[in-house]
Amino acid sequence: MKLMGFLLLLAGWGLVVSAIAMLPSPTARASFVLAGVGVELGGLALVVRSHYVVTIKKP
Amino acid sequence: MCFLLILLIPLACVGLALVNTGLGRSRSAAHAMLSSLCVLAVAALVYVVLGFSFEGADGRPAHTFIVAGKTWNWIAAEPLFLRGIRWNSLPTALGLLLQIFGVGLAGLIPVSSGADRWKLSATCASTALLAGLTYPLFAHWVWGGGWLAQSGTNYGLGRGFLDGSGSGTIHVVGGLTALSITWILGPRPGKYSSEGISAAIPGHNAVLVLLGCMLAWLGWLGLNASGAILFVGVETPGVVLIGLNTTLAAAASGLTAAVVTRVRFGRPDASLVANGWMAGLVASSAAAAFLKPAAAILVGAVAGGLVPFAVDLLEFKLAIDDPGGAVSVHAVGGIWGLLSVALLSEASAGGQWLAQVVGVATLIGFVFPLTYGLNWLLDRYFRQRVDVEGDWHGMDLHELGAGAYPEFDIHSDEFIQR
Repeated sequence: MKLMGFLLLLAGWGLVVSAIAMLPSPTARASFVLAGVGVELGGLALVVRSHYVVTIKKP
Repeated sequence: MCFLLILLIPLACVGLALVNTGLGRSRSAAHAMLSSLCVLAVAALVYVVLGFSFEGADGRPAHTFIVAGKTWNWIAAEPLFLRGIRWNSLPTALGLLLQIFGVGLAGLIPVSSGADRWKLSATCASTALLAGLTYPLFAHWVWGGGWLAQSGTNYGLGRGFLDGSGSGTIHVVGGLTALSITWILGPRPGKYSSEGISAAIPGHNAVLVLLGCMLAWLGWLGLNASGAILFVGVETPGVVLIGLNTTLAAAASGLTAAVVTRVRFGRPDASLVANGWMAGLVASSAAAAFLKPAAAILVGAVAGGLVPFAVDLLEFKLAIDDPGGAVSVHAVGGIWGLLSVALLSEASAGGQWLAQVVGVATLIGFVFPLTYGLNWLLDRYFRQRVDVEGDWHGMDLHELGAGAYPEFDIHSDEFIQR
């Protein structure tokens, strides 16, 4: 779960960077940047969850 | 003028070290201060030997590549040991001096989250990774003419990513490293029960904490003013507004935290008010040069309102044992500061919001995995957490052989469930 979370963080950032580099339309660029941020937040939630489970199992 | 302002920045480091120490336990107080001193030393040395060669400065040699017809400047190409610096070139030399203090400040942030369980040797090794790679890379992108700074001219995103004095470059980078450290080390013994219920382990000296806040204020005046002059081109008379905005943001933030804790707990909480004050300073760093005074008050008030809730969320809901609230103050406060440039400042027109969002996304999506990965690798080959004996004896006795307060009885582990 933790590895998947970090992969999603990197994938989200890749989406953000690709959007500003490759999309000329401001609307499309903004949409893809926000989608990338959404993917990052999903990844962050997975990383948080994986650490929460470990902390509570080993107090 | 700028040189004198830069000389104030070590006071921010002193203030942060005092806050970290006061919010930790008495049995680890000497260790916390020694760790802070070692962090400053390691950060300065590693940055000079290696870090600056990755960071460079705007207009100096860098590695670039072309994407869709645009140049992407991704890392500097300076020689090691500052051999490329001409010391009579004032902006570069002054920027270098500022960042030697800035990288030390960033390195102090994780000391707070690792309190009472982070080995001194591991602290130094982790700081070397921060000062040698993580910080210089992101700082190059923002302050060294890198792709985030160029996003305005290359892609029409306002003026490009703006971070006047380090809300992102210093504080969010440090805050995300602090989050990595607290996860890699795990919680202090007895902090969480198997049901996930958190035990209160209060800081040992509120006077140190509050004195640290006042010293940090002085340091931040120098940091925000000198950073704005060197990195966003503010003219010298503009430092008056920056000093005012820095003070207003801290004042509003500290008072908001006091009101929030008074309403929630029936009395103001000294440690959370101190964290609120610090979060106001952190948030002011990005935008102090671009805000009107009323907007600076709003930036501070939001930061001070966010911090108590962020501390609660991390400690009670997410089981993140961050004794000094470093993640809430520096990562959350810093991200809010970066976004406030787009929402409230005079630089908010023409796609600036997208530039700020891209910068924040880079911090969360790239810098956080990088700093976590580096510290995780370090921990695999050199365990960062103190052993079980250290957990029980405290860091002072275990690692230094003597406590910070030898003439006084140190409280036993009444917080720990045996």
